[in-house]
Amino acid sequence: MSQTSTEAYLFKKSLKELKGKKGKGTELISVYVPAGRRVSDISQYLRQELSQSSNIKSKTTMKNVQSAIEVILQRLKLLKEPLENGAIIFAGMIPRGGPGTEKMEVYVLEPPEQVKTFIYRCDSQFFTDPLEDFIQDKEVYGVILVDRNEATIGTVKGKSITILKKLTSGVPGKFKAGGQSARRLERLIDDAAHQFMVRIGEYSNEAFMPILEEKKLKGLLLGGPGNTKNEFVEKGFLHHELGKKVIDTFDLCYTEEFGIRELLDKASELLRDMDLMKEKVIIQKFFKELIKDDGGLAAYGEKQVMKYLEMGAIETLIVTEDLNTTRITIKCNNCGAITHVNVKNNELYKFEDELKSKSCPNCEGSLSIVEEMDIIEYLAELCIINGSNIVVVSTDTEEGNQISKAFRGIAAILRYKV
Amino acid sequence: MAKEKPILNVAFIGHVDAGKSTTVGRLLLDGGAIDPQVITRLRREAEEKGKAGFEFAYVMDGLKEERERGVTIDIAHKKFPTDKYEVTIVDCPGHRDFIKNMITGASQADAAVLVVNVDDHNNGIQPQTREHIFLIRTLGVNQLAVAINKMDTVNFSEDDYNAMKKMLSEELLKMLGYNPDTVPFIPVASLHGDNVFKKSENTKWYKGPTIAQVIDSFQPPQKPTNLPLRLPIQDVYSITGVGTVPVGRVETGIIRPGDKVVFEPSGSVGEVKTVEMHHEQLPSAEPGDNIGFNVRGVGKKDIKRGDVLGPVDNAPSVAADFDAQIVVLQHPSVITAGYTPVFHAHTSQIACTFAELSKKLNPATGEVLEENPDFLKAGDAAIVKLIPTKPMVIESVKEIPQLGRFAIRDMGMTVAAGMAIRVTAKNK
Ligand SMILES: Nc1nc2c(ncn2[C@@H]2O[C@H](COP(=O)(O)OP(=O)(O)OP(=O)(O)O)[C@@H](O)[C@H]2O)c(=O)[nH]1
Ligand SMILES: [Mg+2]
Repeated sequence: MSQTSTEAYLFKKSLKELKGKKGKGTELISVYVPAGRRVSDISQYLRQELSQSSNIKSKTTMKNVQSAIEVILQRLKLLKEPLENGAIIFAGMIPRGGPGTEKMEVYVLEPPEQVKTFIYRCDSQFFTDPLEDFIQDKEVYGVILVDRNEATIGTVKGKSITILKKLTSGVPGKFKAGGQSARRLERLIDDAAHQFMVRIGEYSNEAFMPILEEKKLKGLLLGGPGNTKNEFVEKGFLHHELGKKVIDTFDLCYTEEFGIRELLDKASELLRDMDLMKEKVIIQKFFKELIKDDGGLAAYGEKQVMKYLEMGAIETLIVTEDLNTTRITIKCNNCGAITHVNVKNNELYKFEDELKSKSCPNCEGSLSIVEEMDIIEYLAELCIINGSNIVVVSTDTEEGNQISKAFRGIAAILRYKV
Repeated sequence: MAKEKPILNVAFIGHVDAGKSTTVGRLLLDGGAIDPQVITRLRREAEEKGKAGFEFAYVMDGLKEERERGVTIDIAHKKFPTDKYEVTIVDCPGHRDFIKNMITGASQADAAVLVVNVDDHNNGIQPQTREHIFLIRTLGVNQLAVAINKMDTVNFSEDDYNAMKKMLSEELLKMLGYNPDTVPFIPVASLHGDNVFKKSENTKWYKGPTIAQVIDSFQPPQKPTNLPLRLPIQDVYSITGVGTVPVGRVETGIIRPGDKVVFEPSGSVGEVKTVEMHHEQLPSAEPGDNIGFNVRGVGKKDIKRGDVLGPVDNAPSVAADFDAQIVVLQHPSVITAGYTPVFHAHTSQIACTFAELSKKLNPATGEVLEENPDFLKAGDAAIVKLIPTKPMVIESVKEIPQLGRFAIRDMGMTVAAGMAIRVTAKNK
């Protein structure tokens, strides 16, 4: 997953940026070119749109739409045919600040999967829904946790755990209330327990049948204390199609959110190909090094990790996707000296602003930014050069959250003790 | 009804199948708290279910599932009058799946009897023997006795008994700060009754007390009646003709019919109608009393295990966040900010996130070793800031010690223990 986790991160990041872009009017163009389609067909379609756009009432909108289409037409020419996965192009005038700050922006994306249908959209935003489908994880595990008192129904996919439903039973406890006969209590308990199972079955069917029909349900995992979970499976409270999907049952202590984590631990062998698990395993490895008396092969902190990385001492670099940092390359317009700084994304504008009033420490010449690069992209390149693995982890998992909070998002497992 | 004898809650703890329920059943029978006919009936039932030998356990294991499988699932209480005390026995499950129920039971105890199988000295200390001791220690139960059970399987051998006693003392009790010389050890064979209530003829080498005598030698619990009322809910029943009946143990303060009370974090408010213990109505109940009660205006759906009852004008604190002092007992990896394990406090279990590791302490002296450490590992003590992921009642140990202690569990074990030292209440 080493390089692909970086790609996935960058893809997600650009998707988020694209989603955030807004045009002044209905003037942003999105084009999805299906796999195998001839580019000339698409160009022809776009030229038709171009001529029709002369009917647009607002002068500026018309001008913007036309130039966007023209940009796309130019870009189409550059594509190499045949298009294996198709192509996705976005173009439009995007304001950076107030009126008059619009600039033409264009994005050509190589789809991670085949584009199936042709789409042409002109809207005030880019049309990114099909892209989001691409990064949606295709494999979903359904999780049902049960005991006599409560149940939790949820899904695990990719990197995320989702709770869909929580139920409580109202099954009476084991104490005899005054005057009640033991037999009567037993019957009450049996009835209530049965009703509860029926309800869990209904909610499970409701939650999982649609996923099954979409062919995304990889399987069901059941867990909980004692025998209740086995009974639930054996006595057929699930739709028979779902019943066939039960992979295994696990002995757990808890049946709430926390039970799902317990389940992931116990089912780790089974789920080891999921991104969620891979991330957990790598981070746990880092932790195991960290607790060694001499600090083991663990390293963290931006400065130290950068140093080790350049030394080629890092085996695996772990970064969290919430770093939100840009590596800026600054050049002196006079002497040409180059410097690098890492700036948090939310301070980027402020930094750019302040740079105007700053000067080169060597020759007092004015400074300008020659490159801005996402820090993760930068680190990934460094890793390639130094033969290190890089893993971009989400903060949805507890372990990822720990790396983010406790180690400021950067940690590493070393090749050797430095 | 006047209460002449003080109440003592004794929890029976230990690894699955050690014989806790059997010991309790035996104690109740030989102590005259149940009719011999009951055992005759249960013996027949056990034989029918292919569980011969479980007749004594069946006294406490009332659930059908418990009886069919021969394991205790949930805690059970039984009244057991001795010369000195009105004892309430809390039989805990030993199976690891049901540890959360065991913790509920342990949180209600004034003293504990650890039951172990004498044969364990050949196999090592069993995981839940260890964990249960950790837990009761954590939850502030300091009075302990150890019953070394199934002595009949080793022909009541003194050597085996001593080997077991030594292993527990050296490898567990000392480590946790118990002085093994002051902890009573008793060789028993619960199934046959040896040294449970009656002194055994088979252990002439043993001069000490029986389990019943040990229970009488425990100290009566403190009764913090001057503190505000706090009653963690263990379970909620609805009983035809009576209505909703929450049950639990009074930790601090006094509860009386007519009191205006609130359940937190649910926030349900009502007036106490009746208070009863072991099916008898009481004019009031005090710390240590395991009671059922009825509150006007509060339904079964409004409250659940883990809620805490208190007076409306001094409600239990629902923590927005809290500072705690913790000790990491054992941990396969690290504790850092962002870590979110399950916290067991009184009868509640809620995941809490470590928001901040404030100070690392010397576990022996309490002296500050490091400000804002990046991580903690096994053996470390620290002051940390915690944020519950769901509303949770916890009190500062400085104000209400009984409601301030907690155990932290993760990856199937108790990893740390601690107490709240400052609580930011969101309901005050
Ligand atoms: N030989 C022998 N067997 C015993 C003795 N005490 C208990 N047993 C047997 O041990 C088994 C378990 O007994 P329980 O009393 O259910 O054990 P427990 O500790 O309550 O178990 P859990 O509650 O499920 O953790 C049963 O088969 C008992 O008959 C004893 O003194 N001698
Ligand atoms: Mg038992």
